[in-house]
Amino acid sequence: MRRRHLLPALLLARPARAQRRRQARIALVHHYRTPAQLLPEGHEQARALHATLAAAGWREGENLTITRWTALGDPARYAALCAEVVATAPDVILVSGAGLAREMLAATRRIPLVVLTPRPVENGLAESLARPGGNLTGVSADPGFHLLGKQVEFLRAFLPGMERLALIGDGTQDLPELHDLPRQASGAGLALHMLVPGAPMDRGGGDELVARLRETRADAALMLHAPRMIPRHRLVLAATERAGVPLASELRLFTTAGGLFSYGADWVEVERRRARLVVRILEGASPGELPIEQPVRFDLVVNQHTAQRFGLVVPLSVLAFATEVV
Amino acid sequence: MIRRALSLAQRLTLAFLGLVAAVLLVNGSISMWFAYQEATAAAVRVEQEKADAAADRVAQFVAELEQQIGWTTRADWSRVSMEQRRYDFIRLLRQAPAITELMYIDGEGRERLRLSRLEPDVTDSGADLSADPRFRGARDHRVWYGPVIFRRGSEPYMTVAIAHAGRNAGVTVAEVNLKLIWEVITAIRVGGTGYAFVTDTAGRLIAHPDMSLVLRETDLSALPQVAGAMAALGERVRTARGVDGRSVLSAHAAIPRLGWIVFVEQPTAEALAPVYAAAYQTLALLGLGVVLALLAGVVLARRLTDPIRALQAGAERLGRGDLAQRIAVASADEIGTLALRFNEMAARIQDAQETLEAKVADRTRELAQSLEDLRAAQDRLVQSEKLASLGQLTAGIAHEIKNPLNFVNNFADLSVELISELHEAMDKAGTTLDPALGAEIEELCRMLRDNLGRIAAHGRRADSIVRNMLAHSRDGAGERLTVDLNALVEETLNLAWHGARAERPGFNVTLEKRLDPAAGQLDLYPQEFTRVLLNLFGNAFHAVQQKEAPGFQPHLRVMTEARAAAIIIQVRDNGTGIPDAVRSHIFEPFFTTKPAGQGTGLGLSLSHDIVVQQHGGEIAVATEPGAWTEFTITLPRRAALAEGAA
Repeated sequence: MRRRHLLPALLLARPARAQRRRQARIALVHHYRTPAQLLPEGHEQARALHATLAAAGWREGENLTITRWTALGDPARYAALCAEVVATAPDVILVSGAGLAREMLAATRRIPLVVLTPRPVENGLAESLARPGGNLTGVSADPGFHLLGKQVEFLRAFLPGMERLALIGDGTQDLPELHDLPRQASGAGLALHMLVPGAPMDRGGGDELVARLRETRADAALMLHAPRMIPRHRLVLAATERAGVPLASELRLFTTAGGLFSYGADWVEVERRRARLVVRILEGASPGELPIEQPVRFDLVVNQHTAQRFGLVVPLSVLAFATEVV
Repeated sequence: MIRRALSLAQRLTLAFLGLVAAVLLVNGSISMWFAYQEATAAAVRVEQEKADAAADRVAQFVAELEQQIGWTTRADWSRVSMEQRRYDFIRLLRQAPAITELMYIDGEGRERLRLSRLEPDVTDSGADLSADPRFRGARDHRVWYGPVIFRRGSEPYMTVAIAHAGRNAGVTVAEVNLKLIWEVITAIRVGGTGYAFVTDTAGRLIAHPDMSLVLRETDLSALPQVAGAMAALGERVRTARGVDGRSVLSAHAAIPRLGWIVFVEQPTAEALAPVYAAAYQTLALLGLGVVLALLAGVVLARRLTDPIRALQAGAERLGRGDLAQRIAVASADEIGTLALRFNEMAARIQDAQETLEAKVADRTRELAQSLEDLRAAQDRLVQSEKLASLGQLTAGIAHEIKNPLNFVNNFADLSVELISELHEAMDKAGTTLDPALGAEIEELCRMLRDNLGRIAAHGRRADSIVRNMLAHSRDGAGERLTVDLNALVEETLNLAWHGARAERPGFNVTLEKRLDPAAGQLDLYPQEFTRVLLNLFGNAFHAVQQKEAPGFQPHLRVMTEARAAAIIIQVRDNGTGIPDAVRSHIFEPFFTTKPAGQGTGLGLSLSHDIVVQQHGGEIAVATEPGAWTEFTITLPRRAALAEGAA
């Protein structure tokens, strides 16, 4: 009569959702963050990545092994780092930064790469956003161009009489928007000064920056996307503070540490989207077929205290736009 | 009974099973068919409702956008300051994340204000957009939805233009990133694994839970359900292949205002799960019913056939002849009654058989008895005939010998007389005769006389034998008298005893007499019967004399016994007994164990003749060689005495 027991079993039987529960290894490779910032405890982006993977059933320590690598903002290390990462043959490599992604793409055409980089197509990583091709997919760090104009516009709202703007970079910036800016409405009549400290920030770069800011008599400073300087953001802020210049940026990081405001993509959201791509690849999708997504949400984070310190009033239009006021 | 065929129980079980299974099957099939129809209709209805709900959700998403944009389309908006407009636009961008760009076109069709999340604001550019479809569309329809475009071939965008209230009013144009519908679409739950997606009327995918499909600008117009929906043909719900190739139940609902079609797809297996569940349930019930029917059938059939089987087994045993067998069927139904009748029948047969057997045994016993009697009679007859013929033969011989023997005896006597005459003659001659011669003649005469004396003696003996032999042919020579048997026995015993003593003076024997006083008077031939007794006693005395054993005490017992119709006379000695080889011949004439000259061998033969032929009795012998011999004479009290028997 054992067959009789089968009937309820048949009634109850539901096709179990096919979930791959095999072990997977992924490598998290960053171009400037410190190893600690790659841990979920160390950074909100890492936390978002971790949480999204876990929600999809990939838990670190259980069925997922994550190895973390960083170039600490040194492009000279890229090639060696990439070779090292590829040698460990992970299932997926998450790469941040266009330069590092290029090196990684040169190192492997086989291991799926999930990049987080500005303008992947323009940087020669992907054939198109809809079909990146090859072993690469990822998320774009920007909507196809830099938000420079918008950032200058917000600065102008704070400082309507702004005449001289210092742009702080690390020499890796070659943004077309930079050339377009003077022709744009927000950039009209604005003197732009590109400041690239010759020495590292912790070895005289700060002083150099202060001197340059004073020298150019900049009314405000805008931090460009400078991977080498992001790890030293406090030193940059200290320098602008000493020079008495408010600093705007694209990263919330700078604002919370004393910058005036930041306007940029919602990185947590971007990282979540990247994590979903990783899950899709671990579930068997071909990376070249997965479109590269652009950020949709942008955060304007304003530091009220900094504004006060510089004797500035947060304009109503900025306040209305702000996603967060610290 | 043919064993190969199905047993009654099996047939009954099968019949019951078949009946129940057929009923269940028919019932189950009908209810399954109805359930299938109903569940399919329900699933279709549910899918349709889901499609409508999904379309509502999507439409609501757009309606909300529209409503939010409507904030800037108030009639007084044309009169507020540019700064206020800008502020309103900023708030709108803040509230509606899907809107990436806002534009205000005044009533003249000039661009007055443009705000973007990505690019610097543009104020009063004055660009002439009066011929722009966005402006025209909004002015014509108040709300205008642009076609879905994929920026940079990837991100889906749509333009929403809303005309302001009032005369010669401006238009607010919003660029909407449709990726944000993703949240709405993924929030639409269609069963467990179902999903919703949105296409435009050209079949291009606008929203799908799998964002990458949207970003790849997937054209789904090849899917039959999409093609059908685009042509607004066929049912709103149909079975089709999903984007991933799975069989799905697809439903759609159009949002005509947007020119969008919302599809809701659920794997067929999942959508029809209630149908399958109903089918499984019916099958389970069917199985259960069949199992129950099987059990019930087995039990019922067993209850029905067990008594029959018991009946059958009982009948088989009865058939084999086990008549003591009774069938134990307790049921009160027809089978019970049948069993009862069977038992009664068996009892009757058993009774009849037992009576018959008893009768046969009786008859057999009687027949055996008769046969025994017949055989004894035959034996006796044969014996009698034999002895009778021997007796006749003996008598015949004696008769023939008697005449010559008479001549011998007579002439011997005559010769003796002649010798006496010779003596007289000699005496007369006296002296004339030479004395020597006389002496010699005297001597011869003496010798002759001696011889003649011997001839005479043996002649007498021969004569005695012949007379004895002739006794066989006696025909009632003696007298028949009524005598006291006991007295006769006693007298004869004394005579025999004295005779034996006379013959052998040292002879001694213990005599024991057990004479039954009830013997009384008996009708017989005393002379002949005395001969019989004398013969028996003589034989007994001879037997005890013959026996030589240390400390042997010769003993003779004579016994009479009166019975109802007969009298028994028994003579028993403890002498040498009769060897087996001799026993069968003892009643034959001339058979003797005594040395030649001592017995004639006619004693027992004559005795047999006298007892059997003359008195109609019986004489029997029992013996143990070396220990004892017992002769038993049975005389019928009132026998038809053989008058004139040979």
